[in-house]
Amino acid sequence: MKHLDERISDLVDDRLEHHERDRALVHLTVCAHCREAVELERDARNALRSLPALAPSDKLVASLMALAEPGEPLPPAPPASSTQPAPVAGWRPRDSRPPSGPSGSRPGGRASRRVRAVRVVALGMCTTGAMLILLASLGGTGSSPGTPDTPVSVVPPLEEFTVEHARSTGGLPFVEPASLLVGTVSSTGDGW
Amino acid sequence: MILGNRVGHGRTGGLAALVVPVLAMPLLVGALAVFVQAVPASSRDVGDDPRAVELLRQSAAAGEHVSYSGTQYVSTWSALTQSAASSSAVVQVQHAAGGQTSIRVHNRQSAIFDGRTASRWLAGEDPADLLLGAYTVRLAGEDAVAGRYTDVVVAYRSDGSVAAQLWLDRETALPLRRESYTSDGYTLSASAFVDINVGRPGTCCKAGDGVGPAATFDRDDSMLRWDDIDQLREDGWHCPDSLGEGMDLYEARRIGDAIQLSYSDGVMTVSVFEQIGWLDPDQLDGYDTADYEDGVVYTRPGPPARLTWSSGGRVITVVAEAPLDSVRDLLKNLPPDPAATHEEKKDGFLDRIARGAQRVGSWVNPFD
Repeated sequence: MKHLDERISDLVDDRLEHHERDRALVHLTVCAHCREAVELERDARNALRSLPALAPSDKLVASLMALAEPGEPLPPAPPASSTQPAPVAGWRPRDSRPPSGPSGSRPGGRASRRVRAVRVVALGMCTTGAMLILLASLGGTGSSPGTPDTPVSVVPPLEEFTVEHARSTGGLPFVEPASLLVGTVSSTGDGW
Repeated sequence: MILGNRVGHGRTGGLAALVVPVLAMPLLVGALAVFVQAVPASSRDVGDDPRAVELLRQSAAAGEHVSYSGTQYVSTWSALTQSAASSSAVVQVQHAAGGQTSIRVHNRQSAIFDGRTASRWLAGEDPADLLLGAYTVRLAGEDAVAGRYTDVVVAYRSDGSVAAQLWLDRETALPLRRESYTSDGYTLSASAFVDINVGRPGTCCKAGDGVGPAATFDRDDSMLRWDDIDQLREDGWHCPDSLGEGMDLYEARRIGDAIQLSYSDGVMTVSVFEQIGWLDPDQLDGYDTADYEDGVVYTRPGPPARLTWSSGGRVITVVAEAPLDSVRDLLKNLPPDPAATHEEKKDGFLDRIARGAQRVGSWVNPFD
């Protein structure tokens, strides 16, 4: 079976069909690289979920509340609209639609700019975080695990390898069965 | 004149009587030295002793039709000769003709060997070919082991040093005693039957009696053929046919995420394990280190001697019951990474981001 690649996200988000999920899990039992990719994906998801809720500053809250208060001082009327009739009401609810004309021609433009600035900053932070996570993902196991340029940390199971070595010598007629002594008798020596 | 001549002859004869012995003695000593040195050389120059070859072939096949049980001592020394580390034990051996061999240490069954029939043998038809291809064999005499007559066969290296001695039972051709040496005479292993009963395998090889989990390993699924090995090489695995010095590949297996390559010259054995990845020195406890060129090799003396190192995105682990000369070519072809490389490859979050950025950069760089 090929590596999971793009199916890793589906597996982590539990979006795979039942049989596909089973196949993916079977593959994970034999593929260390995909296991690491899944772990990384899970870590990233958990990291995003564990981010603390953003608490807006008091100043920001006060500004937002002021937007809804009646009698808000209107911005100075632009010269072009000075001949227009006065508004019926002293205030009207702000909407979030973008201004249709020059920003200076819209009442409450300063607050609107402030909201937009907050949104831009929040969007930028989210985008930057997503980019960093994406880069970290690419710099981890990579999209094609198993290639030499995507190394993973390995600790050789030395005792298991020694047992397998002893087993492989079992069919050789003139070789000592010496490796099987490892772990069964004490060795002597000073080490190297 | 005559006198003079006679005197002259007499003087000449006297001088010759002095000079000839003076010149002759060093020449004689030199000739003797050459002759004495030529004795071991002649043993290899004349090729294999046909009788020794015949005995070895009989011995290699003896396990197929001879059952036996007995007590054997086994001693082995580390190939890292500076360590002087050794292990030894008295083991109980039981073998069923054409079947398995059970070995017990301290009344605990420690291993069951299936023999060559359960392996996917990669090195020719006859197991004796490995030994005969690597060494020159001579019949050196006879001896007694465990009360039985034996023929002693000696295997010589191309430099004339003794690699191994085998005491082969005259009746069954079973190897009753074995010793192997490095080229400088250092003993690597020795074993001999203290007593042996031929034709009485007893109750051999009951699984589940203290046998390790690896003993139940399904060999057939893990065995690799030459086609598999060729495919592995195309995928970037090293998989050499030989480690040099007659140390040829005779079996290859897949063990988890590792590839095991088993090499032997008929007497010595080396297993090479390849894994994808790199060694993290912080996670290697109980290892010694040895510098090799710019890199670092991590070692455990054993026996058997074990070495491991990172090389170009691979982790190479060697289990050696052979002189470390046999690993030299492997180290040359897969040199250890410098230690600094390991530090650079630490898997911190920032390191991953940096590597990811490099990768993205390589995608958009038309000159990469």
